[in-house]
Amino acid sequence: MSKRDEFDPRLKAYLNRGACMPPPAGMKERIIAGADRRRTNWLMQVGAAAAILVLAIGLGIAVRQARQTVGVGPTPTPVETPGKPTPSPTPTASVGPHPLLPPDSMHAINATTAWAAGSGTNQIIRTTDGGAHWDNVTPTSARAGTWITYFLDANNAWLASSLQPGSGSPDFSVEIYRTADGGRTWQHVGQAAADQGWPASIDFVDRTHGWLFMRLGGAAGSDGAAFYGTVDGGSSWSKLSEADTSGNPGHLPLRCSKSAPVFLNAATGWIPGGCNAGGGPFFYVTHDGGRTWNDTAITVPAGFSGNCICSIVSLRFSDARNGVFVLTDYSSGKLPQSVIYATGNGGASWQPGPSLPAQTYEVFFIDPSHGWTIDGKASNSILSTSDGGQHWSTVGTIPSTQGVMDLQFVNATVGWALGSEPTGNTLIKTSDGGRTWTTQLSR
Amino acid sequence: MALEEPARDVSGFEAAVHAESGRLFAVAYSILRDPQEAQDAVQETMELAWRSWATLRDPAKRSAWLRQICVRRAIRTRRRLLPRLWLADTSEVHRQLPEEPDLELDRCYLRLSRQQRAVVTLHYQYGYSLDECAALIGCQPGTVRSHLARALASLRKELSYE
Repeated sequence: MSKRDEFDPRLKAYLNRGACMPPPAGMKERIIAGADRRRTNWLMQVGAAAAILVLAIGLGIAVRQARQTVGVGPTPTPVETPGKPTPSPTPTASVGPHPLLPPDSMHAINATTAWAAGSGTNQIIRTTDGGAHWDNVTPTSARAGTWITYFLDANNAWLASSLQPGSGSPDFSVEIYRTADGGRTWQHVGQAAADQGWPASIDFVDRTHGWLFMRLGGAAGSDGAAFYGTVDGGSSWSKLSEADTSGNPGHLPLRCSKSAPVFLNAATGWIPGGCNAGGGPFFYVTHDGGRTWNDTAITVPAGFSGNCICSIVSLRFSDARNGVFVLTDYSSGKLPQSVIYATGNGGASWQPGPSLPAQTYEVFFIDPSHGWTIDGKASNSILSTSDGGQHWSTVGTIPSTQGVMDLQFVNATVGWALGSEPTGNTLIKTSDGGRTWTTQLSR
Repeated sequence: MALEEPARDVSGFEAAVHAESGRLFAVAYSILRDPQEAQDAVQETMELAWRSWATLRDPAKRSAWLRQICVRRAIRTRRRLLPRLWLADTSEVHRQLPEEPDLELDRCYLRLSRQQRAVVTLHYQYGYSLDECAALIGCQPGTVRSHLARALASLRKELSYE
């Protein structure tokens, strides 16, 4: 066994030791006792509130009596008997730290206009001068919580706000806000009455047809999800489908992890993802707007096992007919291999194409020929292709110390990246096809 | 008007604590490598669960929800300067690893960011796909891939495997 081959077993042994670490003695009992104590504290708080109320009433009476004592009225007003204390409002569950999801996002519309949003700051910003200035277009009256955004074009955008996950609130509804004037004004247009989960993405293909993709929780090998749809711009929402274990045709399965869906038009969309334990890639399609979903049989490339540990990412259409995604094989014993799939017929069929360079996993194509990818190993080096991924060349490096969360180009020269730093997120722009990058916003 | 505590399934919660807290501790410890911090993460997770217990209507989804919250707490929690009030009487935390520790790897592992540690342990130890890791941690799948690639490259370099 070569020294390199010794790394994996050593790492796995180390991780296994960590996972075998026994919990401290009495931890469970302390957690339960803590919950009991919280209950007791709750009762004490209620008692304290009632005591303060009674004390306040008593004090008020005393003051009133004192005033009457020194007053000029000839006849003291009879002392009022303290009535039944007004009940304190039932304490509501404290809203915990939210959001837990960091759905930082950006969407470059063209060379001058771009949007960005960060749930961590509950802030939406927009530029119309190529990033020289960013305006805060945050809807100040929108409900705080987990914010998911979708930016359709320079003027139209939607915001979905949820108290989930992790707030402790029993409210699972998703409030929908919309702007049609570039964020100058926002309207609360509707609510998706979800009964569980939290929004992972909101998508629109035009000003009226949209979808809310709700995550319902997952475990190794399964991933709960539900779809809500609107046909009136977000005013009304109806539940379209939910993952289950029935195995019935048209049902979205609970198994396998699911990434955010991508819709091509009001009828057709895909959910990419991957399945654990050799389940192969996950790629389901709907042709009725999200009501029914069926497996798209993807032919894995030569050399890939049909039951590979694979996942599909970077699904994107550059126009109504042309689109790409990346299939990556994570099967053990070798470095991950990524292959570009392309369609030229609106997703009716997908053909495997060239492989991506090692340590690159996601792509962004502006047309069937021109695309970019990031070398995740070599300090965020960016590579570009002009022949559909047949050949790649390193063009520059994106300055981000903790990785690049998103990369988008609007033409062959102008692009933005969403970087990650210990202090927060950065917006980074290139105007020369990726050769040089300038950090525009650093928080 | 009677003041009643919102109905909660106390016995169900206690059963969940017994069933889940050990597993949650293992996940948190795998990421944090600090028993006290791992215990804090588990405790915060169960506190949050207790506050939300009446709303966690589907028991089948509780485990996944708890795991997700615990992972995120483990990643994001700041080490406290003072012990938690109701952990003040905590007995000595176990500090014995079940086998001889790999101190060299431990030192390198602790240099990774918490996000990187989370991806490495969730992917290699617990078998989550990278997309599942992204959902658990709460970040983009591409970020997870980047974390994993950087973590492995760092470990291999530090340990002179390349």
